[in-house]
Formats: sequence, C-alpha cells, structure tokens
Amino acid sequence: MQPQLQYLVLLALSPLFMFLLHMATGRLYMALKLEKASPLVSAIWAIGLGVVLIAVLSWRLFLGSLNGGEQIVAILYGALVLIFLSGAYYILFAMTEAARRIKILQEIYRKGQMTAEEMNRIYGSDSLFSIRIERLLALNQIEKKDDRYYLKGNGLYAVAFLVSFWSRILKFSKN
Amino acid sequence: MGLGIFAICMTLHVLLWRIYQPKRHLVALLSLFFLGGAVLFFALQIFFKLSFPDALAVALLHTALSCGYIQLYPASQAQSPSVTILTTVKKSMPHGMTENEIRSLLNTEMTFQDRVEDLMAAGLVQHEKKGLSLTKRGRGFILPFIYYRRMLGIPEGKG
Repeated sequence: MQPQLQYLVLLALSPLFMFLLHMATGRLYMALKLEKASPLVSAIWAIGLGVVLIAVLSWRLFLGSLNGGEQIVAILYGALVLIFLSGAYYILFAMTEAARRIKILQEIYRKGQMTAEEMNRIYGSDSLFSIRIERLLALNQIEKKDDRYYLKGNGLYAVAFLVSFWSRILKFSKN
Repeated sequence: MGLGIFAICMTLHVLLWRIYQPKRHLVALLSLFFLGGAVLFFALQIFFKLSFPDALAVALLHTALSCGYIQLYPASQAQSPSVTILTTVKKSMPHGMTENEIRSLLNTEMTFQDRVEDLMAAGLVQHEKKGLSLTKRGRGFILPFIYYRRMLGIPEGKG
C-alpha cells in the first residue's frame, strides 16, 4: 500500500482507535475507583491519547518523508480530519451521557415500563440541573464559591457562544 | 476539493434553513450532506478524473467535516442546557449566579414533558397501561447506544 494511502486509512480509522482507547481508559477509571469523576474525562483522555498516537504513526508512515509546502499541506489536512472526527466521537459519547431523549429511552429499556412521574423524578429539572452542573464543575468550566457559580474556563463557553450564534444564523433562536 | 464540496453543502443548508425549515431536520441534513455530497463528488470525479488516493482524500475530508457538523447541529436546534448555563453564567459575571437562579432558568426553558412528547411523536415511545414503553423502532434506536456503553464498561444507569 502506498504511504499516502496508509496515511488516509489511518485517519479514516481514527474514531475506531479512539473507541478502543476509550474502552481501556473507561475501565482504568473504574479500576482506580474514579467512578465519581465525569465519564467525559476518560473520553477526553482517550481522544487525547488517540490523537498523539495517530500523529506519531502518521509522521512515521508518510508525513516525515515529505518536504516543504507538501508537508505543511498534508499536516493541515490530517489535523482538520482528525479534529472533526475526534470532535464527532466526543459529541457522540457526550450524547449518550447527557442527552435527555437518549437517557429517557435508556431508562425505559432498562426498566421495561415507566410512568411519566417516575421519569420526571429521575430526569426532570433536578436531575437536569445536577448532571450538567457536576459535569461543568468536573471539566473546570465553572466554579462554585460561597454558593454562587462563576465561569472558570473559556473553552466550552467559546463552543456555547458559537452554538448560540449558529442557532441565530439558522433562525432557530432570536436571542 | 473536499473543503469545496463541504462549503457548497453548508451554503445550501444555511440558505434552505433560512427560507424553510424541514420538519424532519436530521433526515434532511443527512440527505443534503451525504447524498448531495456524493453527487457533487461524482460530478467532480468525472470532470477531474482523480486518482484513488486523491479521491479518498476528498471523500474523507468532506465526511469528517460533515460528521463533525451534524453532531453539533442538535445543540443549535434545541438549545442545550449546558449552553444555556454557560452563556447565562458568563453574562452574570463578575457577580455569578446562585443555584436557584440557574434552576429557574432551566425550569422555564426546558420542560421534561416536551421531550417525552417529542419521543412519542417520533414513534419511539408509546403509552401502555402501566406507563410508557419502547416501540419496536425505539428499541432499534436505543440498542446501539446501550451496547456501545456496555463495551465502554460503563455500568447501566450511570451517567
């Protein structure tokens, strides 16, 4: 197989590598009794490790043999593909972790049948609040001081700002 | 070229959504980016006669960008609670917000009942004597997520 083709196949398979690493980091978190940490943290570790591993392999397989402008273009191409595929993997996992519709369906599957009151108790506004706040605290995006919440990190806020902006572009929101 | 195909699909998406928002958002979005993308890809292939690695590079870039965008799209369609919390806490700075202020915001903006009604309208959940249960379609939809989480070693009901 040509080195360029090997590089492309490696990039195309990157979500699979991240999934395998995620299986390992998820179990490591359980073994180290870190269950209380948000599972999103183990996903971030898996994605980070995956990106480093794929970058090293890409360099050895293809990128290291290129020169000048060709090399820069190939690196930028790989970075773009990797950022978007790993982002898609992270959002897929986050969706199984916190999206309300998915959580409701999972819970009904687990219990067979549920009344709306039971579900409201588990996934109503109280649970909605605590899951999101715990997750944002665990990811260091907000902090709690004297019973008040403050913005701490700017990473997720930047994403939230872009999402709100895009929502206005697509005419979903007028705020 | 991959960027070009994605840019064309994205432009069409923004124009279409600003004129008329389809009822089945996700189906329309998937069709536009993947079927529309495939049509553009084959048109370019006939015109430029790309080698196999180059064609793969174009298809991979368009697929990666489309997957990333489609995963982010639901957050802009239905305002996510995390987005609401972060944007309003930011607006409240430097004073911050109390737990009750954030709770009241989530209570008024997102009701649990709306989600259940969405699921029923989509044919994923049905009313039975003892409460709500999954339809065949609902089971088919949720099973991949359940197996995915099992493979990751996450205990059921956690998260």
